[in-house]
Amino acid sequence: MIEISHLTKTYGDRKVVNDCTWEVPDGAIMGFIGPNGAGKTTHLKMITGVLRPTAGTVKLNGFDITKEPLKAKETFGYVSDSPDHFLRLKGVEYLNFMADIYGMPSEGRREFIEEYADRFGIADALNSKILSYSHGMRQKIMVMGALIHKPPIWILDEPLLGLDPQSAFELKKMMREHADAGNSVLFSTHVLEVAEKLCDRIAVIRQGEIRFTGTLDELRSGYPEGTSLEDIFLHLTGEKQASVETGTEA
Amino acid sequence: MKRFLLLARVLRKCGKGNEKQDRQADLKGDNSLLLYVAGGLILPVVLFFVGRFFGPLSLLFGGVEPFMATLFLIVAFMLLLMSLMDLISNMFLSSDLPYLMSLPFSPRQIVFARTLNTLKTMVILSSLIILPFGVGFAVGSGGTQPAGYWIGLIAGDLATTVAAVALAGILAILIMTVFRIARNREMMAVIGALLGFAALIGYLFINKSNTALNAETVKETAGAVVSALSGPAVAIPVIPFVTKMMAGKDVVLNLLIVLAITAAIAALYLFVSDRLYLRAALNMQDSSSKRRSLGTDAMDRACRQRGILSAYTRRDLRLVFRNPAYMTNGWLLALAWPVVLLATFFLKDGLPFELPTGDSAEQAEMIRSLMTLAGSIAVALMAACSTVGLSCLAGTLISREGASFYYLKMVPVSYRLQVFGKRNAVLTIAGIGSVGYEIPAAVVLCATGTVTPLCALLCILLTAALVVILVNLEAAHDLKKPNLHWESEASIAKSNSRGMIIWFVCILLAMILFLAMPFLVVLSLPENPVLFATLIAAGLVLIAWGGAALTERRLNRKSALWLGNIDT
Repeated sequence: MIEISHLTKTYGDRKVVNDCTWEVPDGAIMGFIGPNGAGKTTHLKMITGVLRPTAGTVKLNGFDITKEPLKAKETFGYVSDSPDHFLRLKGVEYLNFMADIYGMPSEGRREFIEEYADRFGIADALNSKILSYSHGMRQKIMVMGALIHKPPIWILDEPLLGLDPQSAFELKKMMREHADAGNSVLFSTHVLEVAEKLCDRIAVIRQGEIRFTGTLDELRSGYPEGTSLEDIFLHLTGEKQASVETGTEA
Repeated sequence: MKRFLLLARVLRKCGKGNEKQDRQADLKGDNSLLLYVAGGLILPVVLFFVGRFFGPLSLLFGGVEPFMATLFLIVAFMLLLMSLMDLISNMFLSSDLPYLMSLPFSPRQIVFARTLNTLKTMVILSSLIILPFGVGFAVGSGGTQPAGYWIGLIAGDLATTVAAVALAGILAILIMTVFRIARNREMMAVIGALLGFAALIGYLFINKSNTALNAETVKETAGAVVSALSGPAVAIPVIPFVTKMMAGKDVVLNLLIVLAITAAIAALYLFVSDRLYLRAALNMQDSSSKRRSLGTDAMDRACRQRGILSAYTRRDLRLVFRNPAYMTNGWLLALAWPVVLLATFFLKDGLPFELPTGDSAEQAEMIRSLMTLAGSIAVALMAACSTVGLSCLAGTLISREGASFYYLKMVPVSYRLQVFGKRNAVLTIAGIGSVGYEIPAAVVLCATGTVTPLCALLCILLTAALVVILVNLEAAHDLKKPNLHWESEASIAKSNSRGMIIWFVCILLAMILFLAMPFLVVLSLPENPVLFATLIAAGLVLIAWGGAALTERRLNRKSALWLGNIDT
C-alpha cells in the first residue's frame, strides 16, 4: 500500500506538486494519468525517495520514505521513464547487480532470470551489453531488474513505452497477477485505453494537483452517459471545456 | 545555400553533437572558464615576448623567413592534429549523425557545417599564437618591417588555418573510409592502451639493456621523430609563399598564390566530401548486434551472490573499463603515467645549474644517501598525484552516473556504503597504478642495492597514504558539486582541470624536494643530515597517514549527507 499525504514539492516559487493526498490500496492497479509536465515523474521520484519532498509524507507498506528510507525502499521496485541506464553492463550483469543490492540469495535468482527472460523473449541477449539492445529490450531488462527482488509494490513510470505487443501483453498480465496476489501496482501512462482496460483505480494529475482519484466507474458517474474517457480526461486536465458536471474531485 | 546556412546555424547553436548543450552551465561548474580566460590573456603576452626575443636574432640568422616558416609550421602541425581529432569526433562519432543523415542535406553541406565549428575554434587559437608572436617579432627587430610583413602575417594566419583544417578534414574522411575498425571506439582504445604499454615496456627494456642509449641519442631520436611528424605540416604549401610575402618579396603575387592554394585545398576537401563522406558515415551506422549465448556454467557464475560493497566496486570497474571515454581519460592515464613522466624527463635539457657534489668522499656519500631518500619521497609524490590527478576517475565519482544517478537514491542501500563501494573501485585502479608499480620496483632495487629497504618502505607507505588522501578529497569534491547533466561521457571524462592542477603542484613539490636535499649537506644545516632527513621522511609518512585517516573519517561521516543533498 502506498499512502501519500499532503505531498508538496517546490522549486523556488514554483510548486511542481501541490498538497497531494491519495493512496494506492493493496490488491489494486493504480493508473497515474496526466498531461506532459503535470508532475507525474516528480511525484514518482518523491514516492521512491529520489527527490526529497518539500512537505508531506509518503508511506510504503507503512514505512515512511524519509524517516525509514532503507525499509521503505526494500518494499518497491521502480522502473524509471528512461531505460537508457547501465548501458555498458551486460544484461545478466545488470540483473545480478540489482540482485546483489537487494541481497537476493543465489537460489531463486537464476530461476527468476530464466523465467522472465523467457517471458519477455530476451534470453538470447542476456550475455550482450545493454548498449546493443533496442529501446524495447532495454525497457524489458529494466523491468526485470526492478522486479528481481520480488517487491510487494511496483512503481512503473511509462512502463509500456517501446514494448512490442507481446511483451506489453506479458507485462500487463504480470501486473494483474501481482495485484491479484494482494500487492500494489502504480504506473504512469499517457495511453487512456491501457488505463481503461487495466486499472482498478486511476489518479488524474494536472499542474501538480490531483484532480481525481477513484475507480473508472466513479469517474464516469459524474459525467453524462456515453462520454468517452478521452473527453473526461481532457475536461479534467483543463484541455477541453465540456458542458458536463465534474466527477468526484479529490 | 540557404539550407546550408540554416544547418550551420543550428549546429553552431547545438554544439558539436556529442557535447553538452549548455556550455555556460558547464563552465560555471568547472575551472575551465578561469583556465580559458587565463590562457587567453597570458598566452598572447608570453608569445609577444617570445617573438620580441627572436626579433633581433633574425638579423643574425637569415632574416624573417626561417623564423616565420618555423612558426607557421608548428602552428599548422598543431592545428592539423587538433582539427583531425575534432573532425573525426564531430563528423563520424557524434550522437546526432543518424538524425542528420535522415534529413535532406548533401554530404558536403553536413561536412562544411560541421567544419565551420572546428574552423572557428582554430582561427581563434591560431590568431592567439601567430599574431602576438608576429607583433613581438616586428617590435624586437626594430619595427621596420615592410607592409608585406603585416599583410602576410594576417593572410598567413587565416590561410594556414583554413588549409590545415581542410587537410585535416580530408585526412579524417580518408581514415574513416579506409579503417572501418575505427568506428569501434572501444577496440581503438584497447589497441591504444596495449600499444602504450608495449611502448613503455619496450622503452624500459631498451633503456636497461642498451647502455649506449644515453640522453644524447634519445634527443637525436626525438628530433628525428619530430621531423617525421612535421611532414604533414610541410605539406601545407601556403607557408613558403606567406613567408616570402612577409619578407617583402612580390607581395601581391604571393598573396594571390596563397589565396589560390587555399581555395584549391578547400575545393579538394569539397570533392572528397562529396565522394567519400557518405560512405564513411554509413559505415559508422553498421552496428554489430551479435548475441552471445549464456552457458549453464556462465549463468551459475554470474548468479553467485556478492556483498553490496563488492557489487558496487565490480560494477564501477566494469563500467570504467568498458567505456572508451573513461578508459582513455581514466584508467589508462592512471596506469600509463610513467610514460608521460619519462618522456618529459628525456625531452628536458637537464638542470639549468650543477647540483653540489660535496667536498669530500664522506659528503658525497651523504649526498648520495640523501638523494636516494629524496628520490623515494619524490617518486611517492609523483606516483600518487599522477595516478589520481591525471585520471578523471576520482573526480567524477558521482558525476559519471549522469541520468542514472536516480538509482543511488532509490535502492535500499545506505548512501555511505554506495559511496565507499564506488570509491573502492577508484582506489583499486589508483593502487595498481602507484603501489602496484612500486612494490616490484622496490624488490628489484633493494636486491641490487640501489635503494635501502627503509627508503623503499617509506616510499610505498607514503604513496599509499597520498593515494587515499587524494582519492577521498576528489571524491568529496564531486559529491558536493556533481555535474550530472551532461550529454556525452567524453565531455565529463575530460573535465579534469582540478586533477591536472593537483598533478602539477605535486610534481613541483617533488622537484623542489629532490633538488633541495644536497644543499642540506653542503650548507651543513643539521649535524647528521641523513638521520635528520630520514626522520623528516618518517614524519611525513606519519602525517600523510594521519591525513588519510582524517579524509577517510570525513568521507565516512559526510558522504551520506552530501549524497542526500543532491537533488536532481
